[in-house]
Amino acid sequence: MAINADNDGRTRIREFVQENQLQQRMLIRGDGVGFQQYHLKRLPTVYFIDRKGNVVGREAGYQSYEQLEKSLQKALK
Amino acid sequence: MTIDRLKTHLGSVLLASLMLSLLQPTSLPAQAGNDEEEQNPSAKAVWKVERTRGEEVLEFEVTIFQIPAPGGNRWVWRATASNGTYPGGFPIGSMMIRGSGKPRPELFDPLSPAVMEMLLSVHGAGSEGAGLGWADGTPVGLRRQISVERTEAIDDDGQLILTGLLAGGQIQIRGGARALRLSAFKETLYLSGGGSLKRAEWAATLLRGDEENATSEERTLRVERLEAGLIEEEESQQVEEAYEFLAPVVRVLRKGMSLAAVEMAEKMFEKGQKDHKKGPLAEVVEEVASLLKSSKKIASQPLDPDVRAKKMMGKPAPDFSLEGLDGKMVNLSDFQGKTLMVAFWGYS
Repeated sequence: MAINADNDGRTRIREFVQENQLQQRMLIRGDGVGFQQYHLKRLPTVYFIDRKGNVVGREAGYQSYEQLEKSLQKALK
Repeated sequence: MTIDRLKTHLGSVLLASLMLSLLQPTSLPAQAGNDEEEQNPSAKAVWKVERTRGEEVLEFEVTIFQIPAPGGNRWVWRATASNGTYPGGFPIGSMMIRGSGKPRPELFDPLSPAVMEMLLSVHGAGSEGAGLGWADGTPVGLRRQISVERTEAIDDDGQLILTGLLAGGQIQIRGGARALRLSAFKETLYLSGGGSLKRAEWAATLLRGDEENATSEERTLRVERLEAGLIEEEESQQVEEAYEFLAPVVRVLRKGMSLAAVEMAEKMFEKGQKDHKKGPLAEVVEEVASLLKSSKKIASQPLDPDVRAKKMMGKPAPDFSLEGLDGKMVNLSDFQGKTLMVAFWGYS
């Protein structure tokens, strides 16, 4: 899922989703959750959560597709 | 000092708002023996406040202690909100009022705008007669005088109701790209026979940009005096001493959240808290104690989010509930048993 942590407007988010043909679940107004519960320093930041619900990975900053896939494989183990 | 001059003096809204219900001008001795004391009595008043800004509603109570200070009065206020949080983040503050005149803006507590708005509104609530006049825009967050047409009426109980309606057309508050216009304004003051303010309501409609009324914003402030009375010199002194004790602690807490700063505040607090655990500000002392505790907890965490995030690894992911783009609420716990990739993103 993707969480907008910058309080961008709905219209802007919708545009972004359409332009990039995103398939993820898109959540909005995530700045509180992001900065307080998930200790964000910069955007984007991706967290990986395993089947048991534990945090197993965190990647801050832009990642290439390959890097993300690698991290996801690790989380799936 | 003649009664007339004393009347004029007491008529200044500061005293009127707090005092006149108890201290009717006519009941004062013709030759006041001690002018200083008569002009600066210690008093206490409790006000109920309801503020709205569009859909946002803020409700709280403010207790104002009026304490004589060199050259005027000091209002020490404490606020409580029904949901346990203080408007502005801290439960206490003060402002100076020089003589019978205006509050000193440089001494305002900038952290509690809602409380300041309320205090200034009560202080500045006018009471001229019918006709064209001015109203203070502070209650609705506009720092300017607003030209109003006043009507006046006396109801059965002999209380005076003064209404002020925006005179003339709309007022331009701000120009440029984020233009703001005041399209409606109403001030209603309920004064007792003696001229003291018992209740007041302000309402304003603001238009943004060049909209006519589509998404206009309503702002209201309603204040109601629940009680008011003179207090003994002893109580007044206790309030002053407790405030002097609490002020530096709160100041440190407000300015810095570094561990060193919080520990410094804690030290100052521990030194004298026993002396102030009873008395009129006892509750505030307790609140500041718990504020210190939670501040210390936050300050003890590493500052760098990356370092804090490291501590999360291998631990259960904190649950949250957020609105989806489709308007439906989504919980993290909805996805139990699935591997998740959660991306936080933004434009900037």
